Amino acid sequence: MRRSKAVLLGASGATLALTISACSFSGGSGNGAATGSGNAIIDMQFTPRANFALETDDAFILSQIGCLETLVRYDEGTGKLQPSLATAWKQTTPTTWDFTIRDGVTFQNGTKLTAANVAGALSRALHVETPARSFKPSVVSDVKALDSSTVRVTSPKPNALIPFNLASVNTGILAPEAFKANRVDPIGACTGPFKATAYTQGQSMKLVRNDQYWGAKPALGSVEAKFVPDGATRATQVRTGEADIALGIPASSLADLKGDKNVVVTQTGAPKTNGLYLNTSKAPFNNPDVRRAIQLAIDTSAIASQVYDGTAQPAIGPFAPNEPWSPKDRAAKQNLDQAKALLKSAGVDPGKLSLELLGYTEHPEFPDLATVIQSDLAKIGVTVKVRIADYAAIEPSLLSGKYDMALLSRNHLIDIPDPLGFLSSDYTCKGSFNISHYCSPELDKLIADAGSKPEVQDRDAIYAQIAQKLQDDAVTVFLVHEQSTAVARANVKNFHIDPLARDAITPTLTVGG
Amino acid sequence: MIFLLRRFVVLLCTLASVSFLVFLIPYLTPGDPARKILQARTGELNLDPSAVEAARVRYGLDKPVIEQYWNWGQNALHGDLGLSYTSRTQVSDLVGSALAVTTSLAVAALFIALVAALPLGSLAAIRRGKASDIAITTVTQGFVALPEYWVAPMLVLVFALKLGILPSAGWTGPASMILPAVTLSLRPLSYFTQVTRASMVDVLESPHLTAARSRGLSFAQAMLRHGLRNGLLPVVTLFSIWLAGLLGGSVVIEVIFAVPGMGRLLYQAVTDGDVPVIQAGIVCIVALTVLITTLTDLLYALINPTVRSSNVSR
Repeated sequence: MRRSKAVLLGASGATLALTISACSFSGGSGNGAATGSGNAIIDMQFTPRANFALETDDAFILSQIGCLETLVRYDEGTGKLQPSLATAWKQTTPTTWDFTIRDGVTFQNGTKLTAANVAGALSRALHVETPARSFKPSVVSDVKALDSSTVRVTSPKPNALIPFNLASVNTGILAPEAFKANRVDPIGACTGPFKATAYTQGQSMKLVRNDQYWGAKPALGSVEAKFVPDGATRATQVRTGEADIALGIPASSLADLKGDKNVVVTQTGAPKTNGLYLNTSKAPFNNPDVRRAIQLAIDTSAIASQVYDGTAQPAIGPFAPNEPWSPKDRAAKQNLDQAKALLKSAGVDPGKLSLELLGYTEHPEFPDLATVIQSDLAKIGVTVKVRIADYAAIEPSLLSGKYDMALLSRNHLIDIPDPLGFLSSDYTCKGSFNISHYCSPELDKLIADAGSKPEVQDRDAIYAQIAQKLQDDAVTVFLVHEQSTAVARANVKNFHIDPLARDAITPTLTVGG
Repeated sequence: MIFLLRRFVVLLCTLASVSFLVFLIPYLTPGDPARKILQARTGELNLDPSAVEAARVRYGLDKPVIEQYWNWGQNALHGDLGLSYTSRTQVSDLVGSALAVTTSLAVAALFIALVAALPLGSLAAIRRGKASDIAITTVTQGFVALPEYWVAPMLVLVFALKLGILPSAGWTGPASMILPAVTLSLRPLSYFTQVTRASMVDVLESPHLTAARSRGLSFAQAMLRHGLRNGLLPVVTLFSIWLAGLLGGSVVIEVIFAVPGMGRLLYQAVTDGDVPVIQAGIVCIVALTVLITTLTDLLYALINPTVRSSNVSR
């Protein structure tokens, strides 16, 4: 009798475990069966966390997996805009732009793409609680359908760059049915080459080829996007064959991957530069010579190779060398003698300088980076105290200008594929994120000039000038340009990393063969 | 009855104080709560001041803290833990599904630990001082020292990469549960083995086992009928304590193996500054921990009347 109780207890324990497991392995909400030829499994770096709200980074995920499309596409190769869901666009008045919507496109659920649908989707994007930087009321004041194929976008002030705003993934177009009360449901609601068929919360999304796609016919039959938070696990999954492609590979996994002949590692410059921001509103950094001395004291090559394990490039300014608006100059080389001489000529005794350096924990390399900077500056006799905390804890000091130096990682193309927004917010006298508290009427004029030029190459030339001036004036000590790293199995063809993180699964991508 | 009442009052007091402390998280940590809400949603550092002020009013952050706690507590009592700042979905849905995953992982890990620890601990006790005892004790005690962030990649290296017999990550079926459950089971396995060994040593030296043997029962029969049952009690208690402890989820294991449990949910919530999820997660874990330990005490009281009477006499 007692033994049977024990057996019963054991059996019920096992049943409980199995029942709970059965409940917790949640299935998808639709049919994810593959059709057509070839299946690709991609391990994504980021997990959707905002129910696919397009004003958040979830829009990048939908775009990367070949689901979400925008009116206009930015081609980073030529630096120019290309038609996508809009075939043409023109500035009709200084504050209005008219976009012609592509004819014959249907959403994956069969709804026709019309100017009214596009205007509806964009109006939603404009009026959400926290609009994206690229499409907020201070940039765009109104969106409306003029007729069945024309959408008019109005800006509160003259703006030559509105088409660039419509290339941001945050302005992606989904069918009206996608917008539910508290969430966005992308299943069947995109226009892209792949159609989302099933989503398992926080785990994976299944897609099949969109046979009605308006562009080139996609080569793959189906795609599975898995959301794997750990970088080393993503790398391993490509090595085991559980995934064909993995995005966001950490430096620590590179050695193993490079020794494996079954996989191919690719790297590209990301539009993100990490810098030492200096508070130019007070001594000692209101003196450009002191700022230059700090710039010359820091060894950016050592930082790139040691702190970032070779996954970042030494910075040559705010923009990486592969960007069309980057000046063709070299990085400032460490020169301690010159740094000391500059401090001397500025009348600053380094022994009396004690500076506080702020950094935030959300960027995992910042604690090491702060230590290296502390040691570099000690070589010219400057004492540095490091304070690392949550970003929320240091932000009040940054915004109020009560700091000496701070480490910041800034994406300069976060709103539009053009650095104007970044330069205006970070380096104009009235910039909304002018952490350096830098104010130069000459630079303000250059930035305003760039914004008024409709031609890409004219703007790029001015951006290069601005970048050079920021570097020469040592407004910020630009440290490294971050790189994106991805890995794919050797039988994956036509995979490229998009520096702007919009594309990963494309119509030309194939697996196997 | 008094014992039950006492435990119930303790449960309520613990929950009330924890919920107040948890509610204070956004106020005790530096930074502006309204800015944190907006940054949690978009990740954007550069915020429009008018949007920040609008958020402050919309979320009632301009009201006194006590009033905000009162409103939050009232909603929480009705099961409404609020909306996540980042996803704008009901926090109770997020916590509920993550808790189911973590519970199944914890139960599986403890089940593995128990199944391995009982024979190992008993064997070590029977062979006390011999080579097999030393080997079992050394190896299982070594498990305590092995960090999960080392064990997990090692298991992946062997079973997923080299042998290719188990998935390296994901939460897609029983096979994907094996590696995370085994990793999670090593530390409890070590403690269970040690406790089983210690209690079995006591049992083996006890007069009633000798008496049973003298009545003509074989060693195996005496062990099964009289030894194991007495030796198991401390292990069962330990099991429930570990279960309560593991419900918070293991950040390391859940992130490495892409398991959508409490550890990963809270890790992501802390990274995003998603305060309602952090608050609800902590309150749920504390409530469950208190509940499980209370139930364990009750069970123990049922099994061992001296516990009950000592509580009554106090």
